[in-house]
Amino acid sequence: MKWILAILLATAALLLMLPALLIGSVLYVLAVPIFTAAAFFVMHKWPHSKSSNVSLIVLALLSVAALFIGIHPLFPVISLMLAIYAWNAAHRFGHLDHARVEEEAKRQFVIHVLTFSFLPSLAIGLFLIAFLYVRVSLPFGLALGLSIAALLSVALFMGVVRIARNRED
Amino acid sequence: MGIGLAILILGMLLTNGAFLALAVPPILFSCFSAIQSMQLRLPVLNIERTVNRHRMIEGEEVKVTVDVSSTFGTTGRYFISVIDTLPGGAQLVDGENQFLGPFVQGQSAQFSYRVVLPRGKHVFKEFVVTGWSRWGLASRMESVAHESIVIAHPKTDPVGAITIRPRRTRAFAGPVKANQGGQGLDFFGCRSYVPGDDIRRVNWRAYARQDTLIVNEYELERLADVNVIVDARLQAHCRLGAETTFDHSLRAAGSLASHFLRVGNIVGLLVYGDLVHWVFPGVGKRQERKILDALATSYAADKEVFEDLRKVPTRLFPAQSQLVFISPLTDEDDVEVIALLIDQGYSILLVCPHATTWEAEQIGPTPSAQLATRMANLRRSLFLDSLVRTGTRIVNWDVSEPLALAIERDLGVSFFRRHV
Repeated sequence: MKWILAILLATAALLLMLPALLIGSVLYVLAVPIFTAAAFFVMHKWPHSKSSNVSLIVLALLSVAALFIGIHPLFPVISLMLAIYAWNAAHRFGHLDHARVEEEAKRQFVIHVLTFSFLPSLAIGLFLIAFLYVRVSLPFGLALGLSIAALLSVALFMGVVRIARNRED
Repeated sequence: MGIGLAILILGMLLTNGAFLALAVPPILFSCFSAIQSMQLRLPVLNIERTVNRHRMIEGEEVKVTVDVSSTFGTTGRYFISVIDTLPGGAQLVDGENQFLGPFVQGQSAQFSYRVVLPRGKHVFKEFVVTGWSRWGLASRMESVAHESIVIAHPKTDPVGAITIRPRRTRAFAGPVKANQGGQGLDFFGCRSYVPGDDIRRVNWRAYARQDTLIVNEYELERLADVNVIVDARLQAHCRLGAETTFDHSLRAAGSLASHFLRVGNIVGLLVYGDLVHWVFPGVGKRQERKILDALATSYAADKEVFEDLRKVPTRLFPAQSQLVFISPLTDEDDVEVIALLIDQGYSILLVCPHATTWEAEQIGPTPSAQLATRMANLRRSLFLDSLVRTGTRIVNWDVSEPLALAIERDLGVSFFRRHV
């Protein structure tokens, strides 16, 4: 569970940091990993607390700040989307911390979250963004990249669903 | 939704399309979550908890089994979590207290676990059921009330024979020497024969010497009233790591009450601290359970009204009966109160728990610690010596040693053999 949260938030942070680095906004590049690490810590430790919600607000503010410093809007949008999924995943995985549960049930739960929650939502989200940016004159390379990422996500989703069903049978 | 709306308003104020695009993910997420929350209906679950025993000794394990089933309701497939909330202080040692998995109508599931419970009355109150929508954007949490009560009694140890000599006993046969001649086992004295005396009790040797009929008398054995008083004033007790001397006092009270009940006496209990918790005197196994239940739920408290022992309600105890006092004795006033009770005719057995050895070990072998230990021992010895002179029988109990050992040492094994 921890690694899913870490991957989502690290990707969200990279999506903000790399363009900012190209622009040369050093302060922003330094701020992003610090706030993201803090958000990761809070979401992982206290997923059902108000602090977790505040962490999401902080990540949203980082995305807004990215627009102000001149980063291409695509990056903060995807970054915010990933942050929302991370927050949602942390919220769901937090239910495993209240009591002791079987390892197998825990594993099934993680697969369930991945197959029925995170991956389909991500695929739909990416499709939507691709569509949005194609409609608002997105550069061809970027739109192509987004579409490929979305298709890969769907393929991955289908694969994980099949694996999960096989295990349940 | 708040985040999305805030970014949306910002975008509109700045007339910037990028902000509007940034507002799309949170708003969509919120909308889908809201729709799914409205559609989400949890299955109707029958949840039953079975506890393998409702009374136990502190520190023992209790096995809890939970059956989850759904006989009717919606036909959807859910991913649900059922958590059995543990009472405070319970320590899970084995098994799982949560069911997590897909659930459909007609399905049943079971999970079980073992917990170790400290002393007290433990209530397993409810189950927390959480269900998630198929796309995971919405969840619903409900509490299902289901109460199970487990009482963990203080740990009692068997103690050796204890001789008590109250001035007054009941009229029924029992284990306590009544200090009166009559039928019994132990020789009590001789007296002149009166018509009606059993001829088998005639002392023929005395008759041969004095030429008048003399009969032997034996000491009557009668039931006695024994009231155990536990000092539950917070100021009187000290903390020993996770426990206090009060916990040890309760164990001693349980051990002594069980002992006196087992030998056939009428035993009552008074816990003096917060309020006057009194268990009406009685006999037998049922009374033992009542007393242990009361001890399980007892706690030390700091009430100004009960800050000294003068408020002990002596009216509750039969005159000239036996009192078993379990108190660490805080000052001279406590000593005086016990002396007053002796004056009123009560026979008192004082168990004085202390933790000087434990405290000295915690401080370490420094000269100042050794001096402090010596002073504490001297002070207690002064209190106890003054009580010995009043006729109080005392067990000076260091809680690091077993109570039975302290009783055997302080009340004397030869004394028991002679009288019990």
